[in-house]
Amino acid sequence: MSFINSLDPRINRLSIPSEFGASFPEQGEKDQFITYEVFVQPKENKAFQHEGIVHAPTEEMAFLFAKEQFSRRGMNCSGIWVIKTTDIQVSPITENGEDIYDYINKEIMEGAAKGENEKYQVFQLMKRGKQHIHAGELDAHSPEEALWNAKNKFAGDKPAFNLWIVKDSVILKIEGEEFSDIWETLPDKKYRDAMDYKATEKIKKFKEEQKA
Amino acid sequence: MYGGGQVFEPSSTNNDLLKDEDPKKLAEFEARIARGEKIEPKDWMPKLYRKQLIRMIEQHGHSEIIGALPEGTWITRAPGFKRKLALMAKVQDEVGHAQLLYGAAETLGKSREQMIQDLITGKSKYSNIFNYPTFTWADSCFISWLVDAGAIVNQLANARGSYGPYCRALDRICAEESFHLKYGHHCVIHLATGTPKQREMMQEAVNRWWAPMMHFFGPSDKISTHTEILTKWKVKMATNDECRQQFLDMYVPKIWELGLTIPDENLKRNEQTGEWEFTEPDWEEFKRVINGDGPCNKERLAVRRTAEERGAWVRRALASKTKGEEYVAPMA
Ligand SMILES: [Fe+2]
Ligand SMILES: [Fe+2]
Ligand SMILES: [Fe+2]
Repeated sequence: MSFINSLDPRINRLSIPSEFGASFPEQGEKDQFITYEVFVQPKENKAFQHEGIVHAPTEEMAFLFAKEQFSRRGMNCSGIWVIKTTDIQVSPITENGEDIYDYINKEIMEGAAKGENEKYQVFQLMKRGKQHIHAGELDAHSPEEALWNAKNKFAGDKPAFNLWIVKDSVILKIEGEEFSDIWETLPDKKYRDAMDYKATEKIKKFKEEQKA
Repeated sequence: MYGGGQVFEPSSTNNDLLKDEDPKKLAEFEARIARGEKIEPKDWMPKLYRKQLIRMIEQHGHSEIIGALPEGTWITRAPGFKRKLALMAKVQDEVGHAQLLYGAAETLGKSREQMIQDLITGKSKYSNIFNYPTFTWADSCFISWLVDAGAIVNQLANARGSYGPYCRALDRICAEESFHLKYGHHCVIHLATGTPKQREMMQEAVNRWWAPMMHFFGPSDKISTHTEILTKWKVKMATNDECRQQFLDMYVPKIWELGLTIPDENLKRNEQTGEWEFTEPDWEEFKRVINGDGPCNKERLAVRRTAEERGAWVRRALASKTKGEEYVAPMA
């Protein structure tokens, strides 16, 4: 049998048959992981903000992926929250700069199934095109009640265009003193920083030598 | 983006897609873009907009993944510990970029798994330049500096586009690219100002990569299909020629100052027009390589597909933990 012959010794060690790729097996069962939304706290005492997603089988792995993806570079992370995408309740998004809180009234709670009194976290979209930012927490018996309470607590002069509401109990939080050593080594990784590759002097010297 | 502003797609179906859109909604959508507002996943959008963005972001993501291969091959052979560290970090960034981009495309309704499937079956394209081999360390340095420089020209343009999740991913990506660019430049300077042998090695890499680099931004505007609607919708933010000109303007002087020669006698800046003149790239070769007949097309897809297949058991084992949980599109 002949194998794909590569310049890369690692690829040669894979022993990939050279006829590989001529046909494709039917794709079996989907094996895609679910997604988690990742929120990053850029600095201590600053609000968490949405940064993106990761695919993961469990929330612990979601955190590990999130750490690799969103805190590779120094000084921009002091905490991460991960939340399963399906655990986030989303309000409609408003048009023409209207405040979403103007659409929230007491009736919103009617018919909502009441559960235990629980803590919820609220994220607001304050500028279209930007990230959702953590507004704060509140207690409620249902996501609908949380919306109503959010209006009383967070509605302000500036309109919010969209709200995300999450039960606090489902969030994996890696933050605070307890976890601070996770981020400690980030500033040491200077080789990941553009600043570590200064070369102007070398070019200048080279040009002078060329002239001489 | 690596895809070079080049969205590989015949445009014949576009008009059909546009025909039955609600004119009122379309007008509102266009007004929003004209005001400079971003479009978010839950907003109404024309089918053609969705389709083109998925294609473009997906191709960009694939280019990051495949682009990690010709550079990744040099990690174990990079000269010295510091270069190994840096190249490893860069390659990790590139793979991370793909994940950010896949995430942005997913908000438009195509799952990551489907995108990966379309990559490994050859249905989706990726940037043509990664179908060329990296013979020496200098080839890897050329990619790190100049292919990334080309990618940055495109990415900065696209970051001003209209789709919110794509712009946010690009902001993050561009911040990391500044490290890639400086690192790559540092590597090239080191070789170009080094021993005669190092200089020669660098010059040979420039000779090999110049043609693919000129192809990188896609066919000349004279021969590529016009995409006015995509420009109006801020999907395409600059033409292929505009990006190529910008690249030449920024980097040719930087290549020349290192005493390197660019293998095109006709390359010069026209002082009257301010435009760069050059020998017309061989667009037939470009097409041939895109359609599968390049030096590394087969290897690139085979490696990616092998990784996918040989890693399947790991995903299956892990996925057993999430049985019953349904995948939904991510939010923003
Ligand atoms: Fe990248
Ligand atoms: Fe790159
Ligand atoms: Fe890069």
